[in-house]
Amino acid sequence: MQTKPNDKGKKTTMMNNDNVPFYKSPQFWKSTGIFWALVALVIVMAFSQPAFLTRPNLINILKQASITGVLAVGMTMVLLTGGIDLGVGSVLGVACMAAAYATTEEQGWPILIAFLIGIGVGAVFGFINGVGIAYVGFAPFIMTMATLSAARGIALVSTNNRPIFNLSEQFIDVSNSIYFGLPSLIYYFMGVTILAYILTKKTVFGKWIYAVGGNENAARYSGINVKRVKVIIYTIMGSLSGLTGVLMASRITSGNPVVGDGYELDAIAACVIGGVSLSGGSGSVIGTVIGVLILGVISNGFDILGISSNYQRIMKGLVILFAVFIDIRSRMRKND
Amino acid sequence: MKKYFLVTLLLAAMLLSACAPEAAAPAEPAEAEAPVEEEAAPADSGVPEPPSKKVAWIASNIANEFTTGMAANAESVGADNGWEVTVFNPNSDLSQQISQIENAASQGFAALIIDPVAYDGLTAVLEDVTANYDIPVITLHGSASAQDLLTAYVAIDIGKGGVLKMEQVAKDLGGEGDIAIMTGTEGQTTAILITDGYYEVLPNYPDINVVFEGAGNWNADDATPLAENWLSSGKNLDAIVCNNDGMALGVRAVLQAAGLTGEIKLYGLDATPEGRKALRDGSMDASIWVDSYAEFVEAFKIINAFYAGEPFEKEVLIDPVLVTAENVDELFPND
Repeated sequence: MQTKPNDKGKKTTMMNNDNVPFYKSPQFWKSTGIFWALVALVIVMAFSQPAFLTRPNLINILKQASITGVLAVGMTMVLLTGGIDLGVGSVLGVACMAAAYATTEEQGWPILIAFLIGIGVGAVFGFINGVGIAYVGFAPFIMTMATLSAARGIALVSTNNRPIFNLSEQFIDVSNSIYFGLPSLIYYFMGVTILAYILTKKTVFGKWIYAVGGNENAARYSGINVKRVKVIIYTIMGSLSGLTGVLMASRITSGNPVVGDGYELDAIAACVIGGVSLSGGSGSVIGTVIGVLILGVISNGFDILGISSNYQRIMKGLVILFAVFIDIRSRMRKND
Repeated sequence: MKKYFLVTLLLAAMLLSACAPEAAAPAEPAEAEAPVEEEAAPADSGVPEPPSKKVAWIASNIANEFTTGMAANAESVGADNGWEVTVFNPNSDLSQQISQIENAASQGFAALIIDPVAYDGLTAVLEDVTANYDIPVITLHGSASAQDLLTAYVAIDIGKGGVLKMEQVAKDLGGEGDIAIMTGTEGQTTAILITDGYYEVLPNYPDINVVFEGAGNWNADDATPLAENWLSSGKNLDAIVCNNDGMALGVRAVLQAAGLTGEIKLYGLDATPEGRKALRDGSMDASIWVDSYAEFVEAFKIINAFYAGEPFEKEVLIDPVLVTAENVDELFPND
């Protein structure tokens, strides 16, 4: 780790800094460890079931990972500020219904409108979360738990619990096409990841995110508008939940109000496995991507091996414990 | 000191209020019976008076088209019989259902119709309710292990639905082939009964192999990745048999995307409006009609008989009907 004087002339030790290329910083090594874990997992799965390494199967993993992935990238940024968002699954559900409503054969609105509506609905919930947490002072756990409940209720009330079918062909193509050999969903995931990476690592705002999560009071004293940072982050998370809802509606070719139940836990698990600290200020989007892929490989591998989903849950729990254990150990070593 | 006193007072107040309803309930039937005894013949002296005109429908969940239809049927059949139906939704959570049963009984509902979230687990609350309240408690669509305590059980014989469907699968495949079974949420009674129905039939067709069995959790969003993974596993599949239409419709989209509609046969259950469309356009091969309207008609017959002092059946099993492209129009002419 390097120390360098910051703008105010004080020497600080930064978690990551522009003079040291990313691939030499501690974040990368932590992420690399997970990367090798992913490789090991892939090798184990490939030996257990030859069909695992086939093109169609790998494409499935990427597709399935993309949905959790978009949520997890947003969750990374929320966790970095020391917060949490428990309501993403429900917000996803409302956005799914909204997008489906807009793109039925009868309604026939353009796909762009469906995206704007879905993302917009998510942004509204996110904004409400942000204001509640930053300005009114609710704990993130409580505020987003309220959103979890309210949003799910709204999704169910919207059509009195009935799914919406008959979506237009073009909309169904959104999540179900292949471009340059890769499923369309992966491009959304990659796009969101790249934007989030740039935001967190290459902008001043990114530094503020890490600062708020690392030490909120210090951040405030150094002139960062902590409240505004939080509102923006939660609004981004909401928008990404909305985007996921739109993609989900296209993927299951229907609007289903119960969609997304429990997805927040998968998103958080992916972040934790990827090395994002639950107390804020530490972690990276790249690590989360690897965490998402690890979960995707487990899910897919167990399905094609015909192992019951109950064992998948047990495995996921063990993987999370193991990842956090490694994180704790590497922290202890760093502090020595 | 003051704090402890207030806390003790609060606890005492709570204990007292907990005792109160138990005192009230036994008192009611005693009061109601007295006037009846004076006017009518001795035979009518055991007829209880309904505590209200409200009936509680305590569902297992209201998460898909079928269970939504059930709630609507509960309300309309109830209204036809002069009862106001309140719908309770525990979201497949057993402990929430227990609370809702307790609350409904103590709030003076005249009858409880319950679709148990799980077969075991309601025994304690059902013992409590049947001991303290003289109201009909009917399990509908699913049963509970404490069935002997209860007034009646009304259901579509859902296991038979599984049997009918698997017979159709065997017929369509000519008695041989590789199939995948997609069940509802693991551990749920309905899923178990339907799947048991399949396995009743399968020993008669040794050339049909069950290549995969997995849980699609009743809805398209979990069914989709499961079906995708099965298809990319490299194993041959001739049919995918789903425990409900909700999952089958998710699988349908996966088959369409892979260009396998028609090549891999698809089966659902419930004959929901969207499922019937799929039967008509050939994207699904068969489903089972589970007539929840008929279930409620029978349940309300029993409730009315209970309060009229008339005899009634303690167990009513209704046969499900296999629905295919051939008979869908005659069974559902109003679609």
